[in-house]
Amino acid sequence: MTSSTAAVSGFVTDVQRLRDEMGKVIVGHEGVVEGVVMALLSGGHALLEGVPGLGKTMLVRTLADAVDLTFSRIQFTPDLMPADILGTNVIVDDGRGGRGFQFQRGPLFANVVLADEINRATPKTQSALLEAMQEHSITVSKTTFQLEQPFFVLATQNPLEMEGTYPLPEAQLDRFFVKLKVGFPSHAALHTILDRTTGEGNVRAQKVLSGPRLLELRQLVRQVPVARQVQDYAVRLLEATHPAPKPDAKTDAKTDAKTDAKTDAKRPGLVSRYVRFGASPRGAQACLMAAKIRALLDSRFAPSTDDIKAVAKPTLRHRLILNFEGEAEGIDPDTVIDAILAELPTT
Amino acid sequence: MALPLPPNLPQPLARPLVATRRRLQLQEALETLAAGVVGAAATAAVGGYLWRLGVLSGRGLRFLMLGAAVGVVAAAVVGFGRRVSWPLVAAKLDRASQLHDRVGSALAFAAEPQPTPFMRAAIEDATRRSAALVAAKAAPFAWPRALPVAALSGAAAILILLLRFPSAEPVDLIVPVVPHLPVLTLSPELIDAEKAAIAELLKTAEDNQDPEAQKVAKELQALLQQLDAQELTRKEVFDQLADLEKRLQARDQELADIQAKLKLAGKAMGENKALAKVKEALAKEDLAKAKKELEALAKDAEKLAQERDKSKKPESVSDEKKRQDLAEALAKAAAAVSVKEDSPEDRQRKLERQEDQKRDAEEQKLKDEQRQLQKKLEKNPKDEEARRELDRNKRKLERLERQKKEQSEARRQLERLEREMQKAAEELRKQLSPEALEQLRKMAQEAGKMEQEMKKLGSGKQMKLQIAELKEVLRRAGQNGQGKDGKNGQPQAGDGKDKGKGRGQQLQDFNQRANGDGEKTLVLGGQGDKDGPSVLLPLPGGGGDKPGDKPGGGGDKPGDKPGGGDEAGTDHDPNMMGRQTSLPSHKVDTRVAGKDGDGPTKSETISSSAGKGFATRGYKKVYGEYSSVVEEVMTKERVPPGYRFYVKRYFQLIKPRE
Repeated sequence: MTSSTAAVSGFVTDVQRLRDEMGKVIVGHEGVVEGVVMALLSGGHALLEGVPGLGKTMLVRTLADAVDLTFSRIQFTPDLMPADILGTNVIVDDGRGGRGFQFQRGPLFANVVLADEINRATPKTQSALLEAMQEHSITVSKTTFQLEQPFFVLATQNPLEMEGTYPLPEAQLDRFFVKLKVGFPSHAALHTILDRTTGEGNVRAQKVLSGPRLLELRQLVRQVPVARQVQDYAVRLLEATHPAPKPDAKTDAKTDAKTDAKTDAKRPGLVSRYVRFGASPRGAQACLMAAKIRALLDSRFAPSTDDIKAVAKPTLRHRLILNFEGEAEGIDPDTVIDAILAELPTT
Repeated sequence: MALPLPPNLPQPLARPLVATRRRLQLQEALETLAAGVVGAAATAAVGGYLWRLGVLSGRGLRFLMLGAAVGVVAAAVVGFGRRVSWPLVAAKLDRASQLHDRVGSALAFAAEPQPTPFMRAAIEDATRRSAALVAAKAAPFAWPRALPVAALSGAAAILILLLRFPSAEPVDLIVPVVPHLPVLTLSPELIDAEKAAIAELLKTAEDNQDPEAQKVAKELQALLQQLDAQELTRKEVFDQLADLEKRLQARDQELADIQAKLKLAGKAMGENKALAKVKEALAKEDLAKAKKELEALAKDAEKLAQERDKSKKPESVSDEKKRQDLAEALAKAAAAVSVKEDSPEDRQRKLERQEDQKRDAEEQKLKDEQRQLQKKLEKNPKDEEARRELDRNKRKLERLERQKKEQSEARRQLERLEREMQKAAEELRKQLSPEALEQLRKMAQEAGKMEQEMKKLGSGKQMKLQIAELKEVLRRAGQNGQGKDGKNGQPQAGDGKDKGKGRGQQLQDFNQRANGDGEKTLVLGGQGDKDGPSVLLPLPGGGGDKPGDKPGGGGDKPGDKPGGGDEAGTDHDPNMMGRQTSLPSHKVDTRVAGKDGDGPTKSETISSSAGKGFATRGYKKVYGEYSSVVEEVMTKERVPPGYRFYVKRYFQLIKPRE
């Protein structure tokens, strides 16, 4: 057995243990769990969207329990201020009779952060997360604090309630690795949920994955090579989400004219009609990373186009910006992505 | 061609890749082959159609077909050589074996100069699963998409090449349109007259036992039948007549030769008194007389011999001299008839031989042409032009054979005469024996036979004359408006004052009256400008300028103003025909009493025929006398051909009716 094989084998084992542990608490939602784990392993963040009571918060708490990492929960409210989540300088006695400013860390200083109902906070507060999520650092009063690794933000939002909510800006959304839709549990899953939550016992997940190990796993993911044709497929997929070729892109890369033409020919009409702006390059990065993790989870050493297809929706759906017509028609970005996947050739 | 496989790629992966690629190339070759077949079939169909039309030759079609076949092969080769990328092949293998791009990734990683451990692991992983790679599953062979179209177009091309198309319209593109020639039409009266003349010639030929003349006469009769049925064009009639004339020409030549030889024989008899009359007869080409004279000579000689036998006296010197002179004269005559070396006859003979050789060559040429035409007809039985040419060819050949036969028969007879003369001369030289007498008699007989042969040959002249007359009739008929497309023999519109009545109608009226049904006086050559019936008889030149030089006058007062028209036969009084014969006859029983006396004179008969028609007995008698004179004059005198027609036509019109 080669080292790579052993590493992959260990990866699969650890992740499976984590999933199994989470499975003890979370009933159903296998796809959501997988998405969350992917985000965790890739170093990205996850946005969970679902109606209240579906176990979003429970899922994040369980993950935090299963991973030996610090966890903090922030309940986003309209009056929540950035300092409330980042931390602030407070005047403290120094014991010698003097007073000085001391930075009091906010809840964001944790390995796993749950931003519950993130869309209830104002954009000002939401924006406070941007640096932390992208740079894994926080700057307060000219002082930058590096966040401890791994840093993982899990945000939840309710898609039904629009009153008193502030939709996440595109820049914020783009920083989430995946957007996972938490659906209603099945009939059998409901029975299990009821059995587990209405009894005497209170099942909690055990810690099965340490922080350093998680970082190792993240490193392993990045070692996974991608064949050119698979990567090309990811690129073409990303391009296909755009309603028209970017003007500057055309002038910058004249040699890609043929590729543009190829993608144009395969771009479904749905994109041209309902999409205002397609996914950013972060979308392709997320797609490829998720595909790698999926390949590893399947004990493969390289991702395939099937992996790209499988992770296209969670990694791209929040990056597609629909136009007014698309919003008015109630077009789901997933429908657009399905159309693209159906028409885009793999080779 | 695709790039070669990376050298680092393990063989278990390379093999299925190569096999799959080959299958893909073969499939592509099949696709292009089918497309090529469609193109080739279309080419073959177009080529076949053009070949059927005659636009494209057989050689051209073969080249086209060859080109199409080469095109099909080239299409297949191009299809096989079309680029099939390795990633595409790998993707097909992965998809078929559900390997999630393991092969494709391994292929890509194998091409890396420094593969990472993960890459090597990926290659190994793909190699481990190579047993599941099946080229046939990844690239299964399928029927080419263009196969139905190829099959249909191929079938269509075969149909076009095999089936026969109606060539009416296309043939018009390449075959010049033959102009429609009008059918020659003659009035029945003219045809009847010619038929009668030819019937007489046929009878003469039968009497003479001349098969060649009989045949010519029969062919003339058939020609007239066809003319009567309006089946021939002007050109066809004249061609046939020219053909007959050629056949008769040879007989004339033969006759002239024999006549010349007989004359020579007469001259060669010299001043022999016994043969003076024979010599005279031969000079006049009167073989009948010559025969009689020879028979008389034989009788005299026999009488002389009998007297001598009775008297039992030896032959006197003078008698012997006479006998020897006679023998000498006969020998000379025989020598004159026979052909000798370095003599004028020899030269003539040589010429004849040359003529024979020409005939042989012509016969050979005709036979060759006949074979070619038969082959052509076998290929295309509908080729009417070739069929006509073949018929013409056959007729020419028959004529040649007849000429040869005829010549030999006449010549044989001449040779027989020569032999008998020589024998007689030889016998006479010895003595006036019964054998010599017998030879003299035989010589007379042969002269008689020679006469028969001469008669046979001479009948050709009559035939030629008749043909010339027929041609003249046809020529005149064409000039006078007949021979147009008048299939039904409808009367043509007159161009004189008798507007509304064509010549056909006029002729009909005339015949009606000539048969004795008319009420008015018959006038021929009517140029009168007064009322009254007349018959249109076209005459050459400005008829009527010289009053009285043509029969008939015109109007109610015959002879008042004879020949008053400006032009012959075209300028008549509009009412010259008078009222038509009243058809409803009110029969009245009439008692007719015979008159005593000599009957009417010739002039009375002719005069009365103008009113009563030409159906009386007296007129028949008068006509017989006149016509015989006319026949003689027409035969012997030099009458211009243009006038012969009018004279004959005139007498045909006034001939007695039954």
